[in-house]
Amino acid sequence: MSSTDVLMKPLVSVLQMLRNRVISTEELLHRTYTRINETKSLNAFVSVVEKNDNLEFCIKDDRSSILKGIPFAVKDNFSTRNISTTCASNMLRNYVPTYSATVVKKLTDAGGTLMGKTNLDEFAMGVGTVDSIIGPTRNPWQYDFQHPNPDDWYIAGGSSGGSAVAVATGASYFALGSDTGGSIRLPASFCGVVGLKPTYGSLSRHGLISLVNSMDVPGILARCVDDVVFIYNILSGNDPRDSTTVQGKVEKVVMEENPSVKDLVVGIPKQYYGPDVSPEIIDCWKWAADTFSNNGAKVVEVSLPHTQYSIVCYHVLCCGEVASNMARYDGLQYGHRSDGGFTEEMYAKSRNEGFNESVRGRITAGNYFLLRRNYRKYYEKAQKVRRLIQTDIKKVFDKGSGKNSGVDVLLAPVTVSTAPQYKTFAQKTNSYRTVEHDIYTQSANMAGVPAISVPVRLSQAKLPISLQLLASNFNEGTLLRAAKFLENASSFQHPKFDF
Amino acid sequence: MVPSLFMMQRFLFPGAIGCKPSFILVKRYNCSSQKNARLQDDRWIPTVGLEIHAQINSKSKLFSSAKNQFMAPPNSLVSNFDASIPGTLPVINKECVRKAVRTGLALNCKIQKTSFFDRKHYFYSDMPQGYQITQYKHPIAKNGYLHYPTADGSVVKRVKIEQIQLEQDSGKSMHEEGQVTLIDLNRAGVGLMEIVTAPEVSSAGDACAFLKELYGILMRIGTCNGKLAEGQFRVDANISIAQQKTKLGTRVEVKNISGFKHIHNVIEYEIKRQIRIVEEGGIVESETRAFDYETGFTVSMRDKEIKQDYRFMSEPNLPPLHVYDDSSVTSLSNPSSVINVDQERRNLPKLPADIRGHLIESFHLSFVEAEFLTNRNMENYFIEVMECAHNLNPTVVWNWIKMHVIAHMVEYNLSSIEECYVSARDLAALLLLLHNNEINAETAYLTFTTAIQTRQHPDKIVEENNWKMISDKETVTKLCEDAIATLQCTDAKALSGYDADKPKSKASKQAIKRVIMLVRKNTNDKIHTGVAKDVTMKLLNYKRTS
Repeated sequence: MSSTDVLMKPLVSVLQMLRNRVISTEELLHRTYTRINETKSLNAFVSVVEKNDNLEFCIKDDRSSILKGIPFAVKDNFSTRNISTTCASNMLRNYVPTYSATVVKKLTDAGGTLMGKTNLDEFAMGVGTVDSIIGPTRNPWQYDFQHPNPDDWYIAGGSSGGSAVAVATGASYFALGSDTGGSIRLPASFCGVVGLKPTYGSLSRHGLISLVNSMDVPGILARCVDDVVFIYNILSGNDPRDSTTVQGKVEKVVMEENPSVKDLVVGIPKQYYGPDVSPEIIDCWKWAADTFSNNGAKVVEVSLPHTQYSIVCYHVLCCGEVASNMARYDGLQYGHRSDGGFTEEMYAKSRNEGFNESVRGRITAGNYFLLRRNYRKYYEKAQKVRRLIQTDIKKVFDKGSGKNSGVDVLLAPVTVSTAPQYKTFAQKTNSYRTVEHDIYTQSANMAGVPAISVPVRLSQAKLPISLQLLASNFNEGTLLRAAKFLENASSFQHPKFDF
Repeated sequence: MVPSLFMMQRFLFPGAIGCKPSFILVKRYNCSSQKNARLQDDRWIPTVGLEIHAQINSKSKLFSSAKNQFMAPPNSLVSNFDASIPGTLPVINKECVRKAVRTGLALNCKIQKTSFFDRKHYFYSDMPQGYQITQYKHPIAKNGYLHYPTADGSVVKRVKIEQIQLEQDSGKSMHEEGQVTLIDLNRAGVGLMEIVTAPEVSSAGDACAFLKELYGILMRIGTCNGKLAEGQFRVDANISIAQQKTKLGTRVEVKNISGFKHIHNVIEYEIKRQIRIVEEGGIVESETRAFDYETGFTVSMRDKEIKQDYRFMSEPNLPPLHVYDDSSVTSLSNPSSVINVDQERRNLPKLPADIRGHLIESFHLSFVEAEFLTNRNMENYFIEVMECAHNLNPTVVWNWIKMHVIAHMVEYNLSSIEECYVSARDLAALLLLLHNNEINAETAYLTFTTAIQTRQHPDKIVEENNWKMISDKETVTKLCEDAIATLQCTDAKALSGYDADKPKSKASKQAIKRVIMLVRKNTNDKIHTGVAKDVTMKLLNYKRTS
């Protein structure tokens, strides 16, 4: 992608162009629709908003708005008024909400143009964006647009893979995703874009179709940290419709051009050196640690002793809430309904036809964990371990606790490898993939802390390698500052895809 | 498809039969007839625990802004959240919390400064989420008690209140002929208080006495509208029998009973049923039963093979529920936005037991009389009447309120005494006229109905209609003397039957009647016959003895 491609420009520049009438919103939308068409074979969108509907909208727009008609995309598990919201599931194939999620409404109210709804794993359960009723989403990196090979392409990562691909290819300036165990950071890292999972409670979940209520967070995918900051400032804050959102005002993040990290203490969690992590990623991680250190940050090794138990507990808690949240899909009020039979039979048949195997598997497991006879053994124990993991992370960030001076950010890999090929990935089960790829991301969800995935360099196979930064609750300011520093220091370039 | 609530109203699915509560189909262990009604009940000690579902009297639902209202068109009061539309989240209604706190205080509970919500899972077509949000482990109020008088007021008993929890009501399913089920979600999500007692009640009578006292309290503090026919006060009863007081028998739960008479019948029936089973050598099964309003039997509700496992988990979308007190509220930046338990305690009105006590002590009313006034919020009216006219007999006043004022309110469907045109002051004036023999009971009633129609003061009505009677002793004596004299001249036999020793004999009565009839005729019916009667007797006695 050359710098002349307006669709790949940072938000600030394109807003400047719109303000100075170098380009019109209509023109921008036409180009975006063309790009969506060019990249159709990647299968990033579940549905695209009718061109005429959007053009009508942008003509009415008076350009005084913050976003001036800038195109964006939304993962298809956010409710959008009068626009189908499928969760990539047969269950909601024909479901059209009557209201919009708070985060979506904030963006459209700010003048953004919703281009479409992006692909995901069914009900956001997955790490590949491969288990969807519209089929898998493909990673644009190393993809042959002219002669696509049906088997030989890289996965986008998931579950917000459609959003990551839309942003990576310029089909959207930014996109909304949701992150429950790594679902923003993982596809962001595979597709070479920035992915922010904010603090739990800083963005409203109202309208986000629940996966795991206590861990779900709406988040932002964009091509650079500045764009993430811009959108974060629009979205963050209390929502009376979501009782778990932050009370009071959230401070806007202000970003410098070249932020210093001299005052920062960067923690390297020693438990994250796993034998499964690819050497290229370890190498990149070491480089980043050195770079922080060379620029004045204090880099220290820290311990998160309960890390090894995290993914198992995540699994138990996730399944429990999934079983509960999915109980509403009985085919009565909305969603897929099978014909015939007695009520219970109709429920069973509708749910069997409506959900894919991995969703059904999690429901079954969750109900098992929640049974009276199992509750203490599994669910309650997992909650207790979750508390230990939260405490680990809290301690690491605690500035007042004597011995360990407390770090400002943690620096870690996002996952064990770069994007795998679909062929290899498809052979493994959904749950195995989750364990493999969410291993370093779900701790942030267990603890609620903000985390971000930043692309740093390319691997030998010319695939993006990204690193993850974590900060303490509601400390997005520090997190984004460190992310911007890392972005500045790295040599990562958005490529020119051969559409 | 846009989710249309209107569609649900017409929603039908062919398998509706499977959804019908099985109590319509299955009937077991019914007490067949009256012939075994007299069992040796005194050998068995029944134990009853009660769970009361009282609908909270609030403008909107527990977690949504949809209105809480009865008799609205089906599915017209349903928010996205109530219909479990994906992505919607619960937001606690503070009014419901406040009312639960008030209820907890009135029932002497310890209000929990922090309480939590849980999800209770089961599939039912009128519970769209697939779970009910309730307070399973950490309810808002715990460890209370209630003193209640037994039915005749002779004994005061005590029941421990285990807890009060906030929870959602379900919608309504209507199973119609032709295998169609209609679902109305208007009630879905309305706030309930589930009040749980310890198993400490030992008879149907006591259970009802307790429930009536509880009901009166909820009405008095305004936390429940209490319309029984509308299901706003529903009771689950856990009933068991045992031979020793220390050991409880297997308990049977009878769900969803409305109306005190029904509750009484259910408990009586269930105790008898269990005694019969055990005495016939059977074993009482632990099960849930329903009350069949038509037959008066309880019948098994669920297959015993299917043990419900509610898979409780904490509700992740609601933060802990905090309430405050005088000391903790001061640290808040906006104290008016929270619930202060101490403030609620200060705002509690006088409870029925105190009001009854006052009526009994100050006016010497009986328990039943005091209870009657208290249950109808009429105590202030009564007290005001008494204050306006100290020398009135309280029982007469009570009787008048019961027979005329309340009867009028019932007839005209008046919800409060403020709507009645006869104020306490007016009633006092009217009863004084009666008391002073200026009018008789018949005229008093006529005056009362005229006052309602014309809204005039009773004194004025009596005055204008010239309804005042001749009742002062002197005039009456003169009139009676004249009449006696006339009779003695014209019809001497008329008075000859009078016997001063037997004033109640037929002949004596006949003589008095003749005098009175003549006085009435002479005065155009203006004589106060009661006074005239006394006077006539005295005069005739005097005449005989002299």
